Amino acid sequence: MKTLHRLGTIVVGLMLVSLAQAEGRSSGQTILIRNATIMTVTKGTIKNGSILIRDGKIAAVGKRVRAPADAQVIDATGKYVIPGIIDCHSHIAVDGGVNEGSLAVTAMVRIEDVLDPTDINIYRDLAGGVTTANILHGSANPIGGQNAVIKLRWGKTAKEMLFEGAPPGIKFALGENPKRSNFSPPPGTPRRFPATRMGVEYVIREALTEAREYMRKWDAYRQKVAARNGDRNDLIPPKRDLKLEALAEVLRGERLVHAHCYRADEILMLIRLAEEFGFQIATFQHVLEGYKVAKEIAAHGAGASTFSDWWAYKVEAYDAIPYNAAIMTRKGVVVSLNSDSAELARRLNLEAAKAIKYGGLTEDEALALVTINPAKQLHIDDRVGSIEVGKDADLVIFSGHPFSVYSIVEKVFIDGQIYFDREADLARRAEIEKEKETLKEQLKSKEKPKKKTEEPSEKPTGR
Amino acid sequence: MTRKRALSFVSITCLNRFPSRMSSAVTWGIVMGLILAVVAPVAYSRGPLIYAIKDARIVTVTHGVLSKGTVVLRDGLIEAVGRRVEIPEDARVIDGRGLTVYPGLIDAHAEVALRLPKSTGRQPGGASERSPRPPTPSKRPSLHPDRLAAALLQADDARLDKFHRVGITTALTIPRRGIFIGQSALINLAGDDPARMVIRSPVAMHIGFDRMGGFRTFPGSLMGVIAYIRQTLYDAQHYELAWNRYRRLKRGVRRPAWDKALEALQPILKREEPVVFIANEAKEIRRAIALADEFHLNAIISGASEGYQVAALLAEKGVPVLVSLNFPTQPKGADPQADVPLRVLRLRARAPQTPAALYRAGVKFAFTSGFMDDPKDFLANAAKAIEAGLPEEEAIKALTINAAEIFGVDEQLGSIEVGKIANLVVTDGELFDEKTKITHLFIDGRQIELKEAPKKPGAAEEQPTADASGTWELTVESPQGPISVTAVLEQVGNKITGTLTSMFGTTNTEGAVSGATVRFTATVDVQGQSMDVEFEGTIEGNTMKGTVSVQGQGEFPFTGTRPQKGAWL
Repeated sequence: MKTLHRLGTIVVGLMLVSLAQAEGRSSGQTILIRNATIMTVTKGTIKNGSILIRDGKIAAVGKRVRAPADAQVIDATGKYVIPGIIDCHSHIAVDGGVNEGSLAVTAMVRIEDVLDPTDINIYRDLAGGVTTANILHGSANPIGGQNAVIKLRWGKTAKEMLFEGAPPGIKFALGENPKRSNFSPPPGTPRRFPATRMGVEYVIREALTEAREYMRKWDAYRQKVAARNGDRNDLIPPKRDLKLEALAEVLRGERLVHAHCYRADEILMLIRLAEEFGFQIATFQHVLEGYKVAKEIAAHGAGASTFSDWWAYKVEAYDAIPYNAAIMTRKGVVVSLNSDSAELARRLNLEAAKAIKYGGLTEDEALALVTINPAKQLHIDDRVGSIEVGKDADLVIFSGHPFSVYSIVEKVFIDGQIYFDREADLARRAEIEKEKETLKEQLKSKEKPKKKTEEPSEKPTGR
Repeated sequence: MTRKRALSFVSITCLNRFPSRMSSAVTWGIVMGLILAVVAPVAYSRGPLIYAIKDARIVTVTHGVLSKGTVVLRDGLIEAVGRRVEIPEDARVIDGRGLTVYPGLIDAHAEVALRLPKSTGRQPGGASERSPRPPTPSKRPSLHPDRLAAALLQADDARLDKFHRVGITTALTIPRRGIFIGQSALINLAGDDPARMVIRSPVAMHIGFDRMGGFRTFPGSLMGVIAYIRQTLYDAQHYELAWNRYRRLKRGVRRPAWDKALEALQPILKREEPVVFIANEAKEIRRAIALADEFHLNAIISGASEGYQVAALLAEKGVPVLVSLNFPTQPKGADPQADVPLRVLRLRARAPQTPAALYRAGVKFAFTSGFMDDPKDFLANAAKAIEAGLPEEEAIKALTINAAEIFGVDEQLGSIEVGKIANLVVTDGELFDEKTKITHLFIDGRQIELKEAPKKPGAAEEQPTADASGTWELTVESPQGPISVTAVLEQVGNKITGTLTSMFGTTNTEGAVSGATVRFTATVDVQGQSMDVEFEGTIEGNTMKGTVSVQGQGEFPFTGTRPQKGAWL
């Protein structure tokens, strides 16, 4: 962790490189990536192919692509291009806590409110080829907060990182984490309800029932308004409740549910509960026993976002197997592999590769686990997840085959702009070090030994 | 001098009242007692209330600089100012040759002269409730929009001297921490009677982003805090709707419940009162502005150490800024070997550029002491802002008229003009020159005694009479029950270093001993959130007791013993 931290601080300034570059380019710029092996994911692999990027979109893909004379040409001979990687479960770039764990239902809190566009992990994950991430609330409560889907547009503001038009979502959590039986509260603090799996189900059911009531109240109000036709003297709308508003959106199918889960029984429980309330679970997250109930997950229409080969790190993960992704895929579930970790997110390509070893997925199927499948799960597959004409030019150039441990990410495009460029990054490192030294000297000479005062919020990164 | 005269007047009067047969000792005792009774609560002189400072350089701020002029103060107001001003016969005359007169400086955001409610600690609600129903944030923690700083004033704050020493005569005061913190008051920093200190109240609503209690109390995360603020403001909007309907119809509708908090929030929703948000980093400033936009609030940003990054946005939104002169620096006791991220180094180097950046962007801004306990660097740091490109006269405005304008008191404060409040700083040189000394200070037309700062930093502290070295077993009485803390301390001179070990892990601590009072601070990681804790206690033999204040949690008592003093050494 320490090494990582140090590494990160070295890299801290590097992103300004890419920022400066990004600023220098209008999204209207035309770029031709030439002579690459293009793994489109949805339309096969093209050897010695080219991609034309125009206005931030993929304008053409193929063996022969005609480019305007003023196009910037990037020669990718011997290199591979894949769609930008999508991490369906991430907790990077969040300020002030990933969990609002105080209450059992916190549907009113929003990751979007606390995105930290300066989190160095954005840049690190970008350097691993991730271009889109689903930033989720933690799993401390049965119903957590609202997630935010972001593009890793390093250097931009939090608002500018939001994936425009991505449907809103929310975190649910089942099992050990929300029941919190493995967490000791400080002495004297009573345990938060719920404490059992029964209780978790009850809390969700109760909250959704409350949300139904809330919807009825609003429907009644709207009907009254419609009936009065103008005379609204004694009518006021019901009180807005941000928690119930979010849950009402779930019930109306307007908000995607991403449910943290492990065991087969709790997965089935939530499927039954969702069907009873008439909505669909968008993704089961972790879902390590998903292979046991893959048919049921597929029948419900939920996606599954799992780990490649993590198991036994907690009691509910004992039955995990590395064939999970492959088995669920074969049973018709849309499966993705996620990181749940700022560190692992840097090599999700290798996580995908494991699904070939374990379970024998094809290359395209394996790559889909970190590209088009998570895009489908987040309902953004019309924009990202594959290399197709008309989609966002979110692309990664690897030095070699993305499933090789020897391959390195060389360039990452988002919306047709370069946000990571390994060469530029390396070239700037000495400069960054020099700037740091200069600043340190400058600060040393200015600071007389004094000042016991409160620091304005200087958040160390990566805490 | 004035003061001496006043004193001798008192003593003579007293002496005359007592027959000479009383023993001189008794007489002296009574006299001294009376003197103390009269003088003790008064931080300023009891001299005549008419002053004339003549032949001084006068920086009026709003009407240029008079190279040689006279200011007359009478009954707390500026009676006259100009090149040729008749000096009233009854005025005490101060020879202003070689001196410069400025308006009294305004600290645009401080926590001063306040009697803070003891232990605003955690409130019931959230996780601590055992309920079959999922707990809801109905208990509304840290919801004090109805709290008026003006009602919490105390005139005898010992810290006032520290503000006077740097020429601060006026401050916007409000408790610092919380969520819906309350409404600030602009006060003059002198007076016997808190009620007479107030220039304007309320000035602004203060909303902070302090989390409550991790996993125990809602809101335990920053996103929880923001959701809570948002929900509360929606509640306040609905409250107004409901009451309006009731006031309109009177019959046929049940009356809504009266709610002091939601009532107090109405002026900000109607834009009759601005809202001050503490926000330092660019992302925090953007967040605060987004929140203000969502509810159409009149926002003021306080802090803004990274304001240089968002000057254009602030200008576009017309948001005034209260720039903290407590610029970020390397924390005391930081590991010198630590690899500080470039972003942090840049912030430290560039924070002083914020005022110049705001000025160039056309943002109205004033300076604050940024909650420095002792604002002794107030002027020195303003000078850093000048060094970083802020024109000097703009720095003076940021210390005077700008704050007055932002707070809506520019008719009565912030410049040297006839009829304004007689708050003046008199110096023997340029305000921002390091060598300049403040020679006189007037607040409400009264001369304030400038008590000299202790010679050396820390010299004000008493010599330690206790040795804190050793391993202490401390017990903190938290509302959730006792928490054991092992403090391993080493004292050298009056400085303490060591470690604190508790259920939250082990952290380094440092502090100081003054007399038998020991203070040490640490940053503790509580379930992923870092909280500042400060122990303050007294040592008696091998026992220690006092209070520990935990950031965002309040103050709790602690006691402890030192089983084997220094055995580990």
